[in-house]
Amino acid sequence: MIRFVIVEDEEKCLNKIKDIIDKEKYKIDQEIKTYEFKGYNKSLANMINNNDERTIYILDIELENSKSGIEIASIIRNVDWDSEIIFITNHDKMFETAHRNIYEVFDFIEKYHNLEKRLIKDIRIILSRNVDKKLFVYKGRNIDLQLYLHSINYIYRDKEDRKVIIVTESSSFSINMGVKEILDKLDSRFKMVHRSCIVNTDKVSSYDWNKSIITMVDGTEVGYLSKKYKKEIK
Amino acid sequence: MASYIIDYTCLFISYFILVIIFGKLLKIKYKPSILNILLILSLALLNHFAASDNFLILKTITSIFSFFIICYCIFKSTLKEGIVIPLVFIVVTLISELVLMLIITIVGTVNMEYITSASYIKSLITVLTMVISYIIILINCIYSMLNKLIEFLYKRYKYILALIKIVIPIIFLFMFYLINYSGKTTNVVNIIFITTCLIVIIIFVHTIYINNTLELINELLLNNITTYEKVLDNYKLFKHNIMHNYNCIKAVGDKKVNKIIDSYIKEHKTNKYIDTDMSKIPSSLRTIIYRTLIEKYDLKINIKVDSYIKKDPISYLSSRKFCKLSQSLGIVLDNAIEACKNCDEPYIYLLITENCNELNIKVCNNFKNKINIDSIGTKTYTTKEKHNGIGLLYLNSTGFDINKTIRNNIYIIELKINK
Repeated sequence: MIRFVIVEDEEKCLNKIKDIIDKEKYKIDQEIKTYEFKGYNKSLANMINNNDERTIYILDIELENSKSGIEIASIIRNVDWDSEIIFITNHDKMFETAHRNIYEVFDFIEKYHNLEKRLIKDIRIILSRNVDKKLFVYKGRNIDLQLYLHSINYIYRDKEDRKVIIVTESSSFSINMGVKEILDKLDSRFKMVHRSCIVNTDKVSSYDWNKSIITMVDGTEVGYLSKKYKKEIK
Repeated sequence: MASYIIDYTCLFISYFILVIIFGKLLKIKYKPSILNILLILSLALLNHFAASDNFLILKTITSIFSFFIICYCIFKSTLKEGIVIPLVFIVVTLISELVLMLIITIVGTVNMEYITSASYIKSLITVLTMVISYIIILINCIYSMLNKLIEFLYKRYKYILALIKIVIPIIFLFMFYLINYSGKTTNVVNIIFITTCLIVIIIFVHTIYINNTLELINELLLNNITTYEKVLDNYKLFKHNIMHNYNCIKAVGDKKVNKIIDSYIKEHKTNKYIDTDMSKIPSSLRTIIYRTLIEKYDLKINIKVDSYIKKDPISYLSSRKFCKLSQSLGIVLDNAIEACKNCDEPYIYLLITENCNELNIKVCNNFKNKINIDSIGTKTYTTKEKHNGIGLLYLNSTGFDINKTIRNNIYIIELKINK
């Protein structure tokens, strides 16, 4: 079952969104249930905390006499990173970047400009895509690390620092954990290619077994490749 | 045994009346509660044990101590009130004692030796003194005179403080000559009791000093905020007017002139990277946020601030807490700027929210450094050049509840401050 949770205080807009969802639900195989709220209240809070089902939140940013859409998104993300959030806004979209990345907002739709068209498009994309939100979680002494598995390129053990380094698309993180221990926490797309290295096979461009070099999709070359692990890759 | 009970009960009643009198002088209505009553019972017990002839100076010290405790704990009064009101109260009790002595002499002959020897009679006299004090205060003209005296002393508060700082050491100097050490056990008890009182008073004075310093810092901060707001308003007006002037020139100028004017107008759009209605942010935090962020304007960092709080934190946080919050926020913002400046599209996001118990400040930024997860927040570890790594270390020592998370390439730090 898929839940649509609409938080909108303007009656006209709320009815419009409900109509859009009603039209789309007949095109999908799964059962759809719609819940509407005019603001943040106990029932919404309970719904957020019971996040067993796949949920799509449609939140108006400016709500009267209630927490704003941004605050509600923050509350949702405290407990649930799997559901999708769509913001309905009057704001200038220029600085969506911050919210989009921090709350993993799927889209910002302007209330009085192409709402129907954009919302239908977003709903179709969300429902048709395979969601890959698997996380690698590491609890450090002072900080927690959460990385999407799909963002990890490779993991290797640095001989000098004696730490394991996780290399992602944009950064790298060193943690105090063994390579094999990490492999147990990852899924089948991650393969051991060297006793000190695990690679995300979805991000590999080619394997050069003679030179013992792996070339990643972004062009990076990783010099940890051992013929001992050739069978596992093939 | 009976005399002890009477003695203690009288002392408790007199303390209770004392609290009501204090409330009247402070113009605060006293609302009895279980905690208050327990406090009064404890203070009465303390003074009961100190109220022996041998420990006259101790009695004085414990009485002064009790005055301060009552002022602070029951009425949550300021330091000024805590010093001035007891002084005025002493004046009232002196008047009451005079009145009482007058009544005694008018009524008939009384054996003064008998009165001074029995402690429970002394306690009864104390109760009578308190009752008379209360009646005196109820008289309108005397009450208004006392209010004028309080205002007079408030204005000369610095001199009173200086006098107290001189008088207290003199009392302690004489204390050791006036206490009677009549046996080994009493010696030990005396020393422990005096040492405890001394330690408590030293801590108390030290706390007052720290609070005074923090109040001064807060005053300066608030002055800064007011000055900054005035300057900002003047600047906005200036910018507003200059834009109109530029547009006037453009209307009569040729293409060349218009090009030059357009480049000047571009220079004036200083808030290009800050998407926030600054008026929504409480003024006490606005200065820190705006000054930290606007100084880094040349780094072209996209900044978004969302604030959803009703009251300015400076109105309900203690001076010490607010100072720590300002310092912490400054550190967090500096760290965010340093971390995100190397990204292709650097951004910082601030979210300020609250619930009934806590003020929540969340700062998020993207970053591009290599990070050692287990070393973050430890001494000397830093991801930035020429830094010492003491910023996050200081944050851990503030006592605030701090949550730090890295989610993909976003660094999220959440400060939770108890109201």
